[in-house]
Amino acid sequence: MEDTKIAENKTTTTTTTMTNNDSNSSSNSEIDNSVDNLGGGDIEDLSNYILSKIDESSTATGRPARKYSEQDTSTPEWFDHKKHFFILSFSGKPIYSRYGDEVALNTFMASLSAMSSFVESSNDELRYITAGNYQFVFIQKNPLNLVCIANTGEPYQMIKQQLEYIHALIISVLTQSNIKAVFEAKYDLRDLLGGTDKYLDNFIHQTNSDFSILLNSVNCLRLNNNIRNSITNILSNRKCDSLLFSYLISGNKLISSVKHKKTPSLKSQDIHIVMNYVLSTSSFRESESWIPICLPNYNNTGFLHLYICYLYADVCLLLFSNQAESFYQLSEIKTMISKDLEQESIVDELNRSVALHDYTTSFTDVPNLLHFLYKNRSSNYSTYPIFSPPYSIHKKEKKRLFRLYQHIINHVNNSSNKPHKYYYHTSATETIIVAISNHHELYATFSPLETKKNVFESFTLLLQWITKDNSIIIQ
Amino acid sequence: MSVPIVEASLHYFVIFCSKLGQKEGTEHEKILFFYPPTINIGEQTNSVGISEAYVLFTKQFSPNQPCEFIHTKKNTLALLNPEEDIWMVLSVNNPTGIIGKDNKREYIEDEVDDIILKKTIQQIYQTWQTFNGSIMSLVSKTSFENVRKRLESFIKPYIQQIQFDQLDLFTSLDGIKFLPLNKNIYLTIFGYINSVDLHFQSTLSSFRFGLVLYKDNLILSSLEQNETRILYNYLINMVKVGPDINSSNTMMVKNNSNNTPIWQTKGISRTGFMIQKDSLPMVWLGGKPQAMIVYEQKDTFLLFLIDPSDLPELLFEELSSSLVQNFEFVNLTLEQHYAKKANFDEQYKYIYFNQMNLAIRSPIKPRGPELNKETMKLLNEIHADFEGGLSSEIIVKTQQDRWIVAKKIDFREFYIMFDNKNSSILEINEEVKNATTKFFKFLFTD
Repeated sequence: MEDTKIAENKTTTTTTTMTNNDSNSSSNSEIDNSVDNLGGGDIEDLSNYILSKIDESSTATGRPARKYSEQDTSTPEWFDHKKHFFILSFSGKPIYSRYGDEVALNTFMASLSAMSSFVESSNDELRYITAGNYQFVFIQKNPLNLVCIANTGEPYQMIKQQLEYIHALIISVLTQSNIKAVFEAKYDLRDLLGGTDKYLDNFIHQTNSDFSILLNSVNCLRLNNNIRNSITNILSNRKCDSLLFSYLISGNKLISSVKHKKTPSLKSQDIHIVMNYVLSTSSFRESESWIPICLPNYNNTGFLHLYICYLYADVCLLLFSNQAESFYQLSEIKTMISKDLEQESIVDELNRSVALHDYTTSFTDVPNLLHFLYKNRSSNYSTYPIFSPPYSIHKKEKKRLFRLYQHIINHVNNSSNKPHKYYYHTSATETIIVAISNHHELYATFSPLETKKNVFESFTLLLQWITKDNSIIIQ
Repeated sequence: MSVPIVEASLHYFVIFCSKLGQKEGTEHEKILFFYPPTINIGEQTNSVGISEAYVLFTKQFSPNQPCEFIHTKKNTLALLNPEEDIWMVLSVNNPTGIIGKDNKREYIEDEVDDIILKKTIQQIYQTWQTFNGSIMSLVSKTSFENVRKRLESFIKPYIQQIQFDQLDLFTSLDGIKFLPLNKNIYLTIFGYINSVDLHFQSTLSSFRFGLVLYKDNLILSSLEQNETRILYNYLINMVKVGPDINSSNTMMVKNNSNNTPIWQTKGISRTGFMIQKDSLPMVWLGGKPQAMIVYEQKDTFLLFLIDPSDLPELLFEELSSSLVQNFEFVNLTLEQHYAKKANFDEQYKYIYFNQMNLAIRSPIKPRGPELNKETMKLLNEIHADFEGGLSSEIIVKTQQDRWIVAKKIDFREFYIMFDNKNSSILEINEEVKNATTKFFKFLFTD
């Protein structure tokens, strides 16, 4: 039900832009001429369009019902949630609450805003408050306040990073300049974000278990290196003037990507936002789609245009363009890419890899290894096995290991004078050993009863295996 | 290139009573003590209001443990609620440094450690409480006005001597150094003290032995663990008995003619009573005030307690002569033990702490050069992990190629540092094994 509703919303967007394109199709030559200059000016500013949309969406009937929406500060259960997220304006106007209806939480949100404004009056910024097992984390992103209240024991730095991700997600829908414009025009941001709740809910859920986000990296699909190279060649051969990046993804895993212009690469955070967006919208599976999207780390003031098309059941092509009118051009490129893949008969191999991506630690042949995370620090690509026993048995165990990794990653990285070169941690439940060099970071989990000698030997073997196996990560 | 760092410093410290100043416009009446006085009354009242608001807000989620720490870009605050309606707030300025690429001065927000700050604010209260009793009981005996005056004269000098840029793991462990003695000398001292105790108790039943120190090491205590910790801390860090004995910034509590405790510097008398009979300070141990007598004989310090009502009867000359007799001979042996301990300690850089008896051992001088900021911060982090039960062993190789190995076994914490750049984790592990074997052999087989 929810899906359809959002899909409708987005289809409207798509059609609107495409209609534009139709009426301008005679001036195609103009597009062709406007090459290479990739400054902010060329990325179309959709402020007016966005503002005009507000009136439409505010007249639309209410948003779909969400879980726990009947709760607020008057229901004791509301306080029992382990991790609350709130978005509000600087003046305390509610915009989003993970649990409960944000309008009913009006007074509570006002007090949240008071918390941070106390400190602002002395030209300072509130970071976080600790009370027993609870942490209250605040970030200020003019004109928005984002707050998390959690008793999950996560390090402050990690929660802060999650709030920054959420802020980036909002920017991706609206752009920073539009958010400001909307506030200046005294519109209710909620009307504009209508339907975004679902993406925020999904994204928050994801940040609580996704290792690639935790490592600030992009997870790679496990794929034979020759096949991957052929795909990359195809992607880089099929281009047009407006095309900036081509990405081939499977779920939230990267198959291959190509940067076509002299422009900064996409940051992991932006790629996660796009992946989340694509995965949360089921209608993208049915047809080619064309949407404006802002990539906050790439340019937070304007939109890029994203062509989305599923080539096969779980393989999705993403083409990023700086021209609002290039839909048909990109559609042709898709057709050519699709043909190339078939001609080089790599489709079967690719689909097989998609189905067989998941691997366990036994695949590495490293003795005693329970789990590991690997990140290439220069490319920001990562790989990790799925959980195997003891972690695959209980959800609680998975969560515990995830929280432990959060803690250790924070210790090892987040501070001046870091990263540490080696880090070795033992508790009653596991031993985790970490090595960080300029090139990579590797976290490996063992039983706490394993001797240091065994742990160290296995760790060395694991590192060798990762370096040798060239299918596990994009080289 | 040296980066000019402005170290952490005191922002403000306030004690307030939340049940005062309830009416609008009278909120400033809540304040019992505020330092520094250079901050105007409006801002003082503001800081109280903000603290109360944070407490109220966080209580919604955590009713039993409301707001303990507040971190802002510029400050780190710790809150303590030591008595009903009484709150203490310690706000520290975060250090600043030229960090990041654009050569701008920025706040270093993760340097001030929560556990250390909490310990510091607890110590402020405990020191007050030990020499004055609880705030509210003093209010009920006298008045808020009187308490404000007394806080001003007692807390202000204490706050002024805290060096906020030099608080470290030793502050948060708050341990006691013990002098390992062989059985004979231990029993001899035990016997001496027992005989003194018995002799005086026969006429003055409230007279009792408290503790005996050699330099900065505890030899024996008959007090409860926490009381021992407080008085030990007072003697070592304030009065500065021990290696810093000739330090000029000593502080000790003395009662003035109004029977109010005041701070004074300690003179350099090396044998005799530290404070004379007529101005002995009172200490509140186990809820009731007792007069505290400290006798020093060279590097040995003996502490006795007596009920104020029995005090006039106590013959100080008799006490001192019985102590001189006994301890003249022991001093030399104690010096030998002390030197032996120091000798072992030269070999390793380590910190050993036992939570059970609060014993701490370390050759590293607090605030010494072995503990640079980075190492200190790392040790704080590891200690926090141990406290939180997250970990039992941590080995780190830092960017500067320093190995730090930390273990927690039951109630014991052991930290050891090596600067062998090229060792592997297994070689370091061997080194730790050797060091611990030697260490525990030394600790127990004496």
